Amino acid sequence: MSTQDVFGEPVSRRAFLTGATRAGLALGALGPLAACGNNGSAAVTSSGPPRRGGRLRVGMVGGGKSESFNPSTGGNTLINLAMVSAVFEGLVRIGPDLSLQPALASDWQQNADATAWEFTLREGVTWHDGKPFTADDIIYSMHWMAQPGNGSQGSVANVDLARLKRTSATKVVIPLKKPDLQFPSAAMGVCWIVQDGAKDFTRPVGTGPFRFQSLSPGQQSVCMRNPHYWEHGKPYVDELLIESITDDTARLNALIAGQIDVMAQIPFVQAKAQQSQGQLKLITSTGTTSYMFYMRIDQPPFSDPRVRQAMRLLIDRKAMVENVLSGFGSVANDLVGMGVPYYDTSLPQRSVDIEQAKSLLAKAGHGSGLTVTLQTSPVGPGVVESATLLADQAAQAGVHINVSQVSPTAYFDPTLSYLKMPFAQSIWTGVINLNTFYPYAIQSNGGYNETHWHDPHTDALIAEATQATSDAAAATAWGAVQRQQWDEGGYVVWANVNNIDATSTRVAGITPSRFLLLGLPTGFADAYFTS
Amino acid sequence: MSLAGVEHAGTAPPRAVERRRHHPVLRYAARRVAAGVLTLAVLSLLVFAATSVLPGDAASAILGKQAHGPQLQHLRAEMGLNHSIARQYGDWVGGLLHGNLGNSAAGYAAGGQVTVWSQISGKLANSAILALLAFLPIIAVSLLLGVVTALRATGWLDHVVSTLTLIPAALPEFVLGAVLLAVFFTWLNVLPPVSLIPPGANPLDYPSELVLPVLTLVGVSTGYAIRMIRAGMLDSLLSESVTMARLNGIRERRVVVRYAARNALAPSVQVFALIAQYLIGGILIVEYLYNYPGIGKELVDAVAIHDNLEVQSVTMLLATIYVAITIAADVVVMLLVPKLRTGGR
Repeated sequence: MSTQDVFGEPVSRRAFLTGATRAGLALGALGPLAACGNNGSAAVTSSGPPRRGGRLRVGMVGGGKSESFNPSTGGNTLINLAMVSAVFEGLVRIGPDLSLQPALASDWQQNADATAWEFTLREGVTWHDGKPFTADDIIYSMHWMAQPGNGSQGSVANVDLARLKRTSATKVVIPLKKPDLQFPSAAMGVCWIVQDGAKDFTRPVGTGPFRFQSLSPGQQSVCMRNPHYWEHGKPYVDELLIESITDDTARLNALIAGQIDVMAQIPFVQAKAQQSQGQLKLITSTGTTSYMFYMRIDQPPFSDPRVRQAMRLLIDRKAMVENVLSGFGSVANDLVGMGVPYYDTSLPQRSVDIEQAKSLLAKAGHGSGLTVTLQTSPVGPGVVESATLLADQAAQAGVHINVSQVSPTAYFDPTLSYLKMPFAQSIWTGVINLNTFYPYAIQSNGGYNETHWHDPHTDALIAEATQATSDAAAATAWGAVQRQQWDEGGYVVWANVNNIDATSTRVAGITPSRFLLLGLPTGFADAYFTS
Repeated sequence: MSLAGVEHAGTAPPRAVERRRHHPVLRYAARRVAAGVLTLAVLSLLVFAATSVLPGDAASAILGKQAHGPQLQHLRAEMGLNHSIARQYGDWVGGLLHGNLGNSAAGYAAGGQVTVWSQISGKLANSAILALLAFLPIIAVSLLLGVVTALRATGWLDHVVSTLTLIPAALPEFVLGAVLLAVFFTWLNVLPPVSLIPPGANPLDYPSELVLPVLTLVGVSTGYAIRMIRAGMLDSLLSESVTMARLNGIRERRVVVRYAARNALAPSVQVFALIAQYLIGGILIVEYLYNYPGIGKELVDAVAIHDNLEVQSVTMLLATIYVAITIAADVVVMLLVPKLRTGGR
């Protein structure tokens, strides 16, 4: 896709396939906690026209006390994302094919150098409390997101808040500090608009397809159909229940027993078993989730690029995908974002080469063997299993890996283990654009610089890429960033993981999305019962 | 716990001697209550210290990967986590004494305030119902089978009961739970695998969701209770007083009911107290296993997010119940066994 084309013709903008989304960020944060990819693929077929009515019961991995409808926490866990997506909406949204779609904004366009974006608000939209939705809500939301601790801070980091203004009752101009052609998708596609003055989300008021009814954190939330929703006819179900059932087996049992209708995140092995049984429907799609090991490049032994290259050569990715993911994924090439705009497909696929790995290790002075500790944690399906399998594979190249387990709460908590581990694992979810990964993971001051990559030259290239105002310039800069990471980076990205959920055979309408599990953000509004 | 009520239920002596007769029991009870309060005070320090030394706090758990910089400072300040340990302890205990358990991390995650009590009250009730539903059959079955097997000791019935009840008793809750799930859900498909009881609903309205949790608790503890009752009854049957009663030609039925059973009652009370105390811990595991919305699952959720305030308060609540059961059982035994009352003098 060419972003340039889009800019040329504003009318078709709403159909444009986009790459960027700070979703990556939001969802990057989500990945580690919520773990598995989502989305569905082929198995879901619609059965007749959508029927109205019914109560949709969705079983999800619970977030315990951190479950909330606060849009600021929407990127923290999948369950929060699901809850927030039911009640709130953004100006725009990311569709199942990663295309940018209108939501609270019906249209948008940028100025000549992409330093200001004008959004035209959808008319006739009301909040769940009956108040009309206006430009003031947008202005307030931007300031609210910019507050410290707000999970959507990244979405407005480039917004020049002082010059933010409404140009009419239904138009808002969002000025940027630096040019950004991806602003609508990369920033606005992954945050939510709140009502003017809203701070307390214990009883949230949104504009979305469902109205908040009740929340018992760690147990259940209930939302009712919003009869005044702007998208005609939707949602189809009368009531949405999200049940926290953290144990994978219990969640699957509940689905089989008919206690729930939809199960988010079915473990790979069970998905494989269900494929042949036909008792349930699988919703699967090629996701935007990557599984990776990462090495701290500022400490030995990984400060030597030859050791990092050896680690990338001794891993048997194919065996990993087959065994750990039961085939629900594809082999990755040490880079995230396969299939998104500017992803470099010209780099050759790395595959296992024990001899080469041994030779590199010998040159680095580890000819007699190398012992390292890999810190793992059950933060997603197959994560611990992949660590164990890597230890097996590495032994063949004379690398002895001690696998040690860290508690899942500490694993992504920077006050505890996160960003302090020399050799560990990560999951990045919702990387729908390279903007959603490199500025956070590779830039010197990125908040999630897991490999401790500090290189002014790289920083300059990333800035050039994200601020490019032409397709060619962006492609060149992204190419250079990726080439460097492929050559000597600290990530061993071994798989692109499919999104998999399961539903009862009575549920239809959920479109498998490359972006998120459960066809989010619109999955619940799209779902209906066939009988 | 009403001590006076318990006493009056036991005996109705003439008023004149009441004061003197009840004095030792009251004194004993008062001493036990005082010791219990002291125990809880020490325990509050231990609980607070244990949760405080755990790495991580609720603020960083809520913020996750973004737990750094001003947002972390801000949330910590809001939650009172930046105060000194002594002040945090003082605030907590002061709140407890005033019946204020503080605010739950759940509220901070939503940008508002949610009290710990609002989070746990319904779940306490759910757990109490589950515990009671398990406790009553455990008592009934263990009393019946304990006495019968004691009377028929080493007979075939004794062997059959021992074998059948000790198998589930030897299994941990989660193993027995998995077996029950395999039988009643996977195989027979007659019971729901997960106890999805809506917030605010009465669990008694969802009987089928209660069966597996109750069965697991009963299965794990009944075998043990039967053995204890049987042993107490056997002791009693072999005691001097029973032998004397028999030698005096009292009919066997009367011997068993009036002498042996009466003597076995005191140890039985202790057994039931132990079972009640076991249930406090046992429901934690069983609730998690079946996703039953009780205080045990609540505690697990609170621990997961380092919501120390809630963990501390719930722990103290459970500890108070535990201590109260111990004291109540001791006092009841004192009432049942008159010689203990004078023994202390």
